[in-house]
Amino acid sequence: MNPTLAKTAFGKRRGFLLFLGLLLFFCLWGLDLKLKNFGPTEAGLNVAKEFFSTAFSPALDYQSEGIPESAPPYYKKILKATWLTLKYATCGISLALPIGILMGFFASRSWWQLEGSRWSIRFFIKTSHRICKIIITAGRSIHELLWGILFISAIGTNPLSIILAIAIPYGCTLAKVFSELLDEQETQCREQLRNQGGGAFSSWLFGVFPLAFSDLISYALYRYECAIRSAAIFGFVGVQTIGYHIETATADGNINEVWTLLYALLALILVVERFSNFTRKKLTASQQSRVKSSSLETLIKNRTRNRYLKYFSIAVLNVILFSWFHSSIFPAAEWLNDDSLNSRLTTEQQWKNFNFFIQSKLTPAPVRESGNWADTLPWAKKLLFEKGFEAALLTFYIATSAMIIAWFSAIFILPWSSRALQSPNPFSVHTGISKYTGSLRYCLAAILRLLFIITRALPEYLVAFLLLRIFGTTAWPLILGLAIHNFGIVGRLGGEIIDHRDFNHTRQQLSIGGSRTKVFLFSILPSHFNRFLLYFFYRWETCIRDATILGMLGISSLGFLIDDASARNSYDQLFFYTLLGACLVMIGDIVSGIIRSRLRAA
Amino acid sequence: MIELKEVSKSFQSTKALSGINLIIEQGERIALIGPSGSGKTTLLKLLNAQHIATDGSLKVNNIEVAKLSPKQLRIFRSDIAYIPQDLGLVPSLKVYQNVLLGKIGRFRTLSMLRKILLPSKAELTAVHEILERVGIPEKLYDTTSTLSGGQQQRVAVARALFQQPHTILADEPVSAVDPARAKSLIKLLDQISTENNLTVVMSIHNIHLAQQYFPRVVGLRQGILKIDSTDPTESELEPLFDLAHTEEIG
Ligand SMILES: Nc1ncnc2c1ncn2[C@@H]1O[C@H](COP(=O)(O)OP(=O)(O)OP(=O)(O)O)[C@@H](O)[C@H]1O
Ligand SMILES: [Mg+2]
Repeated sequence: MNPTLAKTAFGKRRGFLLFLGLLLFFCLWGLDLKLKNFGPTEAGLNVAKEFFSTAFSPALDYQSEGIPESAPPYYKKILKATWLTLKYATCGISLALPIGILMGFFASRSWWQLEGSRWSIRFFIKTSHRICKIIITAGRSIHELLWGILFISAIGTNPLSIILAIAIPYGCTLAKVFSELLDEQETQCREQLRNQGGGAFSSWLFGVFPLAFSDLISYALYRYECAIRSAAIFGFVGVQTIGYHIETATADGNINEVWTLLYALLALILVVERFSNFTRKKLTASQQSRVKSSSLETLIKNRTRNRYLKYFSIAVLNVILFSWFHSSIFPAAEWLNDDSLNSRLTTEQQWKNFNFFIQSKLTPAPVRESGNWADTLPWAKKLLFEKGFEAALLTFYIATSAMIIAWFSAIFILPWSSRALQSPNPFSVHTGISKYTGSLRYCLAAILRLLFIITRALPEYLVAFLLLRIFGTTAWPLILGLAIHNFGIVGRLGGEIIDHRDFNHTRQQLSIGGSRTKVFLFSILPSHFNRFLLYFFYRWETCIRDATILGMLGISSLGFLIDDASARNSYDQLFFYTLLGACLVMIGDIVSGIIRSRLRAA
Repeated sequence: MIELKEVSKSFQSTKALSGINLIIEQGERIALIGPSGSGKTTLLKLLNAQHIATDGSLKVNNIEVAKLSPKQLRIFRSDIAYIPQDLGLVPSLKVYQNVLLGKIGRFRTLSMLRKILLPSKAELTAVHEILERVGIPEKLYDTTSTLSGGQQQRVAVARALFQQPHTILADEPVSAVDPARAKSLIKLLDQISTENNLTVVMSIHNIHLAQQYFPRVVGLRQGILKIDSTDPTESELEPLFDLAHTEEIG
């Protein structure tokens, strides 16, 4: 055979898939996991049985005996936990948004027009761009939970600690994605406006921003949904959100209560998710005049106005104001206050604590004793080589294997879950399928899509926490927790592609006798393979970030070391491991960034 | 007046235009013809300084365009309408908003924003009038992406007219409309440019339309000016589209 032919027969794509498969086994091997150990332990099997058998009987009242008379009614407790989760998410996001918008703009090149401008302006623009990028990368490389631990250690358990802990990484993530969305847009409209004499900013405002607008809004809403998940997880460090109550209820063995809380969290997230979907639909809906008249008066009178944006903004503003100021606006809502957190410290004391924290607690222990900063290096070396390096490697393995599992299973499920592909007339090509099988297929697809929605709604940390009791203390629960959440995300994103793009070639293949599976394999997958890969890398970098905290559940990896250092009050070590995690995340970000920009250009 | 002296334009290794000499008086209407890849788009882009000539000089109203500062360039461009091959309409905006954007070079960002979001009755009337002239007044409030290809071309023409330029540069603006529409659109541009003494330079694939409606025809082949005539004969036109002579066929 012709050697070049042989080469093309085994293409890059297949090579890459094979590489992923091998990488998965390598990671599992590195984690010392055996496939035959995959599965519940004997004790775990019983836990699982008990847990899932109570799924349909969530607690409607306290399960424990001996609840004091003074305790609030059960529904109030649930409401409050749900409210606090929502409140911290809302306050955090409302601070993150301005950060994200401002830095996102400066991190984007979509408005640049450097030719012919003075060197000083060029220098200023390029420098601010560079600085923004660095801040963004640094800010998001530390997980919000770790920001939380740092802030709580520094200024005490105070609502502001939590809000800032959400606002900083979320602001940076918003900025990063906003700038990417802006940079991804086609530039021909902007060029046209410049050709008509438009300035750099106004050509951007009218030629790029409108193209990205609906994407920007839906991403902000997606982040809000994530913030709710994060706020819930803050319960695991002592804030009284849903996560806190899930942890205590689990410890007390009140499984029915766990289910009530899970349902409350799921409901909260699904409401936001549906709302976000609805908003996107409304914002992207194109409009056509209902009347066929050409008189200006009639056209003005009969124009269809899209008031949604107005109502949407008013609603958002109200939710934000209420979250910040509810106790001063509505004194009756005082029972919603987070009493665990109202530290009685004055701002001055907090500021003092903060300074003390920065100046002495964060200082490496040997330096505190000797006063010589040169002692930092041997100290750091020791931490790195004794435990840090290995923990970072384990964290990487967990993240990578989880993502590979999630991606392959989501791609495998995709054709079965697609609305367009599983409809009785896929891509509006008649198939002659019987009504009965047609609706069966359609139902299956709907159920699978629901599965994507639910798995995506569940925070990975929470899933890992629940799975730990079933699978025992191996890395499997962490991998599965991450994989389950990302399975949902990749599934949803992939579904968006199949259902919302026009596929002439798919229709053509169906019309010459191709089956659904075939057109998925030979038309949809090849034409969007790069996009699917893009999602892989986009989620992989997030996985690494999330994996840095999963170890806090007690499995050796970076999170474990961080949790351990925090328990020993050695904040210098905590800070060191946090920075090590940040380095890992940044490496992941950079690698994924390079690959993604290559994929986009390809 | 537009004046090209020995203008050449190269992209890396390809020479898109070489040694072009051309004088266009204010109010002239010129059809630019030539096979695919002959340099029509490149020439049009030179005329409003999207590209700068590699060699030679290009003056518009006695101003050397290569020397304009960014601010001067914006003012210069706000008087020249350009309709690109891909139209450059913002698909998610309404038709009237796209037309209003024709004057983006004339207004400050904030006042442009006000016009886009809350157009006054007078502004709407002006836009509506122009849409009536191009034949799609009923699309005023429609989202631009819902229009057909030919309708979108007419929106682009409307935007150019709304700009009130002294020169209109158009890159195959009638390729997607039916022959009757193409004729009427060109007639319209003809009429408006005569009324207002506008210069029009339009690249066009249909030679018959070019001969019929344009007093002057300029023909390019492989970046060289082959024809510049007020009444080109068949024998002059033929080598331009003779496949044996053409390397690139589009
Ligand atoms: N930005 C560019 N970079 C490199 N080469 C270019 C560029 N723009 C144009 N060219 C080359 O210059 C030559 C002329 O191109 P131009 O687009 O002007 O042709 P045209 O006459 O408009 O063709 P068509 O009728 O297909 O639109 C072509 O060979 C083209 O490949
Ligand atoms: Mg062209």
